Parts: sequence; structure tokens; C-alpha cells
Amino acid sequence: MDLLKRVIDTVTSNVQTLSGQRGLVEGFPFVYLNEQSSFICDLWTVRAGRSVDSKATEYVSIFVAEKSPAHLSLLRNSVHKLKTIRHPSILRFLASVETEHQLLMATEQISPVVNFLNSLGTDLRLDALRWITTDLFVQLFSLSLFSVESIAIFAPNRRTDSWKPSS
Amino acid sequence: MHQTVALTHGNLRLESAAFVAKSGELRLGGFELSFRSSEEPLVLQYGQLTKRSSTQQYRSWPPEVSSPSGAFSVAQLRQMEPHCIDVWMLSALLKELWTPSTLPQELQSSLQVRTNPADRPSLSKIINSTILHNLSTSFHCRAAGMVDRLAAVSAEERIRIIGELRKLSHSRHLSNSFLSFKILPSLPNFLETNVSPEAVALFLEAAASLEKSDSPIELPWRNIFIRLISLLFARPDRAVRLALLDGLCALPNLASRIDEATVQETIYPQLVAGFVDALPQLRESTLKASSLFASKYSSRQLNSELLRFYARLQTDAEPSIRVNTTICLQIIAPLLDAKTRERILVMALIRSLKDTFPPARKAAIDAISGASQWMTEQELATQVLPALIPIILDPNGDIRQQCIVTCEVLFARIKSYSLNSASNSTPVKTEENSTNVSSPIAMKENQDLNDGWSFEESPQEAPPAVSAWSDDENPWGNEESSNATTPLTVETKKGSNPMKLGRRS
Repeated sequence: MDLLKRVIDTVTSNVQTLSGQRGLVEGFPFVYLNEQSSFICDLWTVRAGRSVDSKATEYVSIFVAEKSPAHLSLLRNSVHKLKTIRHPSILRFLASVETEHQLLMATEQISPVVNFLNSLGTDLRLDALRWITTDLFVQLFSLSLFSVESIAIFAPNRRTDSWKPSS
Repeated sequence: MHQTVALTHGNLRLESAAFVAKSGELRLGGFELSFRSSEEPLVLQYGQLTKRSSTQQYRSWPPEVSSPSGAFSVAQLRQMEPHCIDVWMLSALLKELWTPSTLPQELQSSLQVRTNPADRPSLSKIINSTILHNLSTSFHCRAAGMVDRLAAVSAEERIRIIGELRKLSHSRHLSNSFLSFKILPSLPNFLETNVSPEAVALFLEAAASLEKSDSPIELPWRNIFIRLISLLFARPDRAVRLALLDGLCALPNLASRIDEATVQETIYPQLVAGFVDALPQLRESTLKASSLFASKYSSRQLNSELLRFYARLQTDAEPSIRVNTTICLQIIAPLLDAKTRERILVMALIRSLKDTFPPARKAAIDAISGASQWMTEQELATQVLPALIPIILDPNGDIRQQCIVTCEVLFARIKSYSLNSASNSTPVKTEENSTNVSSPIAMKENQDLNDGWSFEESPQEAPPAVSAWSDDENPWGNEESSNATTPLTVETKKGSNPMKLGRRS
């Protein structure tokens, strides 16, 4: 019975994807682009997607996870944190929805760091690595701990954004 | 994050938390195990995240979480400083991200993290400003900072920043994704209000990188690109026009993105103004760029109007322009109407053969070799070879050699045609039955008559923008004439504004 429901879920979502008019599920206005660009990230499968709104042509990433009881609290925690913490260097949350068997979350389009670095030549890779490392440090602690001079070199306007837990 | 919202991430692993946006900028995710001191420390459920319970995976977490014997209680974890777990995990992440040989020395010593969480200093103490400063001198870091500043600085500063970004882009210090998705989106507003040649060059390089990047080209960007190109062609500034034309020539794939309607209605009328500009550089860049759009011109634009400009440039005072005219003529030859090509091609190339500038003669021989497929055996025998033979005695050795090879190839073709026609009893077009050439004297007259290309005008066509050569014009006798008589503006069709010539910056 459970298997049958999953099959129906899959078929329904595929039909909706092909139609291009409705989202994967009600209240989630995004559809998958293709299978090729998916990757696994812990409990999630991350797939390339786009908005069903014909005017919004920006691509997105759709995180899909099975709702097993053991994982549910972790999945919900992840969605909740992304939803409530907004920062230029935090993955931008767009929408999420829970179906009977799955949890779906749409974010800005992203790819794994390693894939990005591997796509670059040696020189660019090293340079981008320094950039990513800098960003990692900057994200993880308060900017106010640094002198203004050291921040001003690499972190103008964008970095002055404070962490904003939304209500 | 640790200071302001007192949040422990708890899952700082490379494959789980570190992503990049389209631009290559870092995005932190993977908050499954994150917790504040007031919340349940979900980090203790780390085993749920890894489908394979490998020891290697568990080493990412510090001993107070992962050690079977020494794991902390919930209360102990809540009392810990938010940075303790993350510092450990970040250290492991960076060691995975950097290879031992590339890890900066100063960072290497900072990543020795202690086992006791109470002894682990906060990130601000580990990563001092010197390390951060050294890391942030990377080209991407500097460029990201510049782009972020663009909107907030004065116009002069903006131009300076654009110049800096252009240098980084031109020296290939930035990734395609950074150019496409970080720099490119910041430029449209700037180009519409306060354009500079550097901004144009940067815009074109960033637009070209969009095609090279892995992400599919997004339709809105194609539309924005076409709109901005049209806008830039309309700018009455020579330096901007030069940057635009040179950028398009250096990145020819960009021209293919522009649709026929835009080329015919918007770009072409603006482009042709450059053919008669007083600045030789602009004439030359216009000439080169004109061949990029050749497949998108209307038949009338290509077969009539453009060829008039080419005819004019074939006698330009600048030798390099004459050379490039021949090259461009060869490029557009396949796209010309058969009738136009038959009428123009041979005469135009024969004229170039007589150029006093050796590279122009060389280009003409090249063009004859390349375009001979569109020439009949009669044309080759009666017009092209007679014009080529004297070049066999050219003062320049390379040209002589090239000419001999070309003559041999063409002669072989004529010979084969002749023998084949004889064996098939097919009458070979001879001087007696050829309408083109009736006698050696007539041939000479005919050639003189066609030294200037002739154009047939249909009655409904508007008068030409620039007069074609008169039949009695001797292209070799008045080489300095073109600049002296160049008008400052040229009227183009559809009532478009003539290009006003500003001072070149």
C-alpha cells in the first residue's frame, strides 16, 4: 500500500512537471529541470529546478528528502534554520513543503564546492579556494571582532549585513 | 554566527554544508544538526546523517560528540561555547579542502585544534587579521569586494573600479561563473547611465563567459544583452564604439546571439556610420565587425549597401584597411547573391592584386584561392590568371611564391576543364562566343570598366548612402582621397540619427 502511494506520488509529480503549469505539489511552485544535475547531500537529494511562474526564469535547487521518523526532526530543523536566518552567505531559502512521504525545499541555485573548484584550472582553483576560505571564516564569527581595516579590503557592503533571525 | 545568534552549526562538513552559488560565492547550508544553547543539541544525532557509518565520517565531529566513551551529556553540550564544535569541524573541513602542499603556512599552524573543547579558542583568536588579510588578497575576493561597492560609490570611483575589474577579467584571473553571475548582473544599470570603454569591454567579456559557463544561458540575459548592445551602438562616442566593435571582434560568438531583426533594424544603421568616420581605427573596426553580422543582414543591406562601403574602403588611405577589406570580402562572399557575387567578386579581387601595399596583394591572392570555387573557368582564364601572372614577378618573394602556387592550381583546373570539354565535344566558351570578353582589346576595356564595382539599382531602392565608384575612377591614382572627402556624418535609412563624432577619450 505504501509502495503504491509512492508510485502515485511520483507519477503525479511527473505529470505536473511535464505540464509546466503547476508546481511539484500544491503550495510549492517549482518543478524539476532534469535528472542529470542532481547530487546527494546527506539526507537530501538536490535537484535542479525552476519556478513555474513564466516570468520568474531564475533556476533554483530543490532539496528532496524522504520523511523517515528518524530523520524528520533533523530535516525540519534544517528547513527552520534556513527559513529564519537570513544572511548573504547563507543559502537563500525560497519555499518548502511537506507531503505525506517527502519534504521539499527550494533554495537559490547551488552546487557543491568541490564541483566548482574542480571545474577551474589550477591557478583559478587556488585563488577561488582562498576566496571560499575567507568567506567561511567571515561567516562563522562576528565581523565586529575584526578591525575595520582588515575587513574593508575584502568585505565592503555585503559583509556589513548583520545576522538577522527573523521573527 | 557564533557571536550574534549563538548558534552552533554542528555539521561543518565539505559535502554537507559548503555550497557555491552560480557566481561561485560560498553559501552555507546543512543546518540539520544546528542548535542554540536553549535548544536540544541535535548534534548528538550526527549518526543519522551519514548513511554509511564509516569511521572517517565520524572523525569530522569532535570527541565530545563522537567518542563512544567520552561523549558529553546534553547539559554539558548546552553549556559549551557555540564555537567549540564548529572550530574542530572547520579545521577538518579546511584540511580536506586544501591539499597539504597548498595550505598556507600561517593557516596550517592555526588549524591545530585541541581535544578539550574548553581549550579551543574562538575563531577570532585562531584566525588573526594577518591570515585573513593574506587570504583576502585573492583576485576573486578583491573583485567580489569591488562589485559590492559599485552601487555605493561616486561616478569617478565607479569608472576606476570598472577599470580594475576589467584588468582582472582580461588577465583571466576570474572564473567564468564569477564573470557571468557576479559581475554581469551589476553592469546593465551602469551601462545605461554612465558608460565607459572599460565598462563596455568588461560587459562583453562577462557576457561571453555566460556562454562558456556550465549553467544554461538564461533567456532574460539574452534579452538584456541584445538591448544593451543596441543601446551601446547608439552611443555617440567614438571610444565607446571602438570598445564595442573591438570587443565583438575579439568575442565573435557574441554576435551570433543577436537576432536578425535587431541587426537589420538597430545595429546596421548605426554600424555603417563607422565606415565613413574620419578616424582610421574606427573605420577598420567597423569593417571587421561588419563581417560578424554578415549572415543576418537583409539581402539589400548585404548585396548592395554594404558592398558600396567595402568598395570605398578598398581605396582607403590606410593600407591595413585595404587588406582587411579584401579579407572581409572573402568572408561575406559565400553569403552574397550568386548574381552579385558573379558581378563583384572577380573585379574586386583583381583590383586588390594591384595594390601597392604587399600584404594587400597577398590577401588578394589568398582570397582568390579561397573564393575560386565561385569563379567560372572562363573568368579564371580570361581575367584572374592574366591579373595574377604579373605578380609572379612581384618584388616580394613570399608573394611570388604564393602566386606561383595559386596560378598552378588555377591553371590545373582550367586545363582539366578544357580537356574534359574537348573529350565531351562540349564547346568551350571562347573569346568568340563569350559575352564577357570578345577580344584581347575588349578584355582590357572591360577590365578598366569594372575596376570600380558596378551595382544594379532597383527603381524602388533609396539612393545609396555613399556614392559608388564612378566607372572612370582610377583606384590607384588617388589613394589619399578617401579621408579628405570623408563626411562627418552619414545618413542612414529609416531616419536613424547619424553618428555624432565626439572627442575620443
